[in-house]
Amino acid sequence: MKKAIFLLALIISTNIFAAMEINNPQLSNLVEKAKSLYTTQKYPDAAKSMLTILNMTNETAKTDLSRIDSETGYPLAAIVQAYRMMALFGAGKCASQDFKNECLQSLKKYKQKPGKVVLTPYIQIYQQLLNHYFSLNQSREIENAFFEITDYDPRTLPYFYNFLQKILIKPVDPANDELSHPHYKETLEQIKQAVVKYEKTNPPLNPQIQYFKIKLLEASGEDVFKLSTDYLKKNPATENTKLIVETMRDALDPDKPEQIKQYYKMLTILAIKQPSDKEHIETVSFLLNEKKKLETILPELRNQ
Amino acid sequence: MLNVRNPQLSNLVARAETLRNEENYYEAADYYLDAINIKNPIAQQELKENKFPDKSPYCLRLHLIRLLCLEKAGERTSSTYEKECRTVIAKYKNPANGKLWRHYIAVYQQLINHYSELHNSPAFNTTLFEILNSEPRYLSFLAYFFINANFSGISFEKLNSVIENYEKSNARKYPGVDYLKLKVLERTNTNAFNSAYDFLRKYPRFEYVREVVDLLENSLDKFNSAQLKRYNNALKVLAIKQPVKNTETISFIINKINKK
Repeated sequence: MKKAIFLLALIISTNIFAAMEINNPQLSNLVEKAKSLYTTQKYPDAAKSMLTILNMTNETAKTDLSRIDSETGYPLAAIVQAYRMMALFGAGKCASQDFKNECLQSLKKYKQKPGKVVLTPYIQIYQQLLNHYFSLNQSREIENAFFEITDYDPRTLPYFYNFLQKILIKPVDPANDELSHPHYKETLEQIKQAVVKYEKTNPPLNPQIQYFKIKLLEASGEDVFKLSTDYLKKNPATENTKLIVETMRDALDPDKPEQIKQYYKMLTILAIKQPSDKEHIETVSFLLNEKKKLETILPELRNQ
Repeated sequence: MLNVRNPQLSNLVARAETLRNEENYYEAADYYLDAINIKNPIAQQELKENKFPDKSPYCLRLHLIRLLCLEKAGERTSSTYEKECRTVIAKYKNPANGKLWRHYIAVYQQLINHYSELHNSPAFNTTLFEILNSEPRYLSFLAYFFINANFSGISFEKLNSVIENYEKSNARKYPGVDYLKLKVLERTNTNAFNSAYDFLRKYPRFEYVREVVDLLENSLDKFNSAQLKRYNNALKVLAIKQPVKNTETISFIINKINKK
């Protein structure tokens, strides 16, 4: 999950980086070198290169570094800084105190009001700060950072889904629960509010967030059978299909036996709707196994 | 190993860890004790630092690992082991007050295991209630101690009070506590049909699901057709909720369905 966020950030920032105008030839060379080191995953060297760039004293280079990128509204220096934090993460340095301090200092330095673009260097550095807390299992800090950033810009919610994943996928053993804390209910309530704020920004339909909305209601003890059914009807072949089918299955109510038939039908329809490519083979076989299991338990379903 | 800055402390802990990995438990325990009792004031300060998500001091963890080493060395039943557990508990009693410290409850668990090994039920029960009366939220860690000890000599009145206090707290709920509640109903001959039914809805893949199914069956009024219908539906849904690979549990449930 952490890697997925990281890669997303990498792709976007690489594009931003490429679009910037750089007049100083030395800086231009260093940027090219840093980009090359980064894209070839030589992270420790890439991080060093970024630091060299940030410490440049040449006046034209400094002008270049302070030039505002029209797309993100941030100076090139902020983009380089975000890039450097990602390189340090890639180099396995994210658990260190120095990493945290550098994140906090850069966040302080580059904080500005949210603009048109959601995934700015500021948000990317915030992701790295969360990665630091995750690496140390610092649950309280993870929560605080999550609520702080989604409060700053509610549109950022989808970029922090590793936090949602962590708290909403229920652990059953307190000894293995890094987030076993005395304020769980309040945390769920705060997440709900963050989701409400996010939806007020009229975001595009995001199946990931729809999925977490279902998990959020499930964690609050609400009946999610219908919600899961509706989700699967609208999104029959997403990366979450298996997880939502499991959520739907877990929501089956013994007092509503008609739900078993609905569930059985859904398995059939979903199996048909999966694309016939390699990526979906696992989902198809899960659906077919699940269907077969139902037929073993309730042979009468075969006649549906 | 955690990042320990003070070189003297770091060396002692590293040596202790090596010995522990080599299964030289007595020697390892001695090194941990040396680390805990280190004279260097900077190292002493570091021992008080919070290096864990629950904000418990590093020193407490070293105490716990020393106890685990002594246990491995065969000291679990000795009176000195009990005394040392008690000393650690007393040392951290005030700072641990109101907090959920995993290493603190783990020291308590060591002490409870000591009494369990000696079949000392009165001390076992007193110690369980001692910690739960001071912090009911630890019940999520301790529920199985009551179940595994088969409730020997337990006051159900006291236990119900502890469960009530746990439920009043805002802590995250775990199936172990709900299972304990079911077992209390069973042991006090209270009809557990509705509770077992709700439990299976909530935790269909609980590790002791078959025991709960048995409890549901035993609580069933076979002359109550509405209840019989609910029972059958509950079993069908429960079987469906099992992962495909849980063939034994699925067969167990299907057998129950076919029995009716």
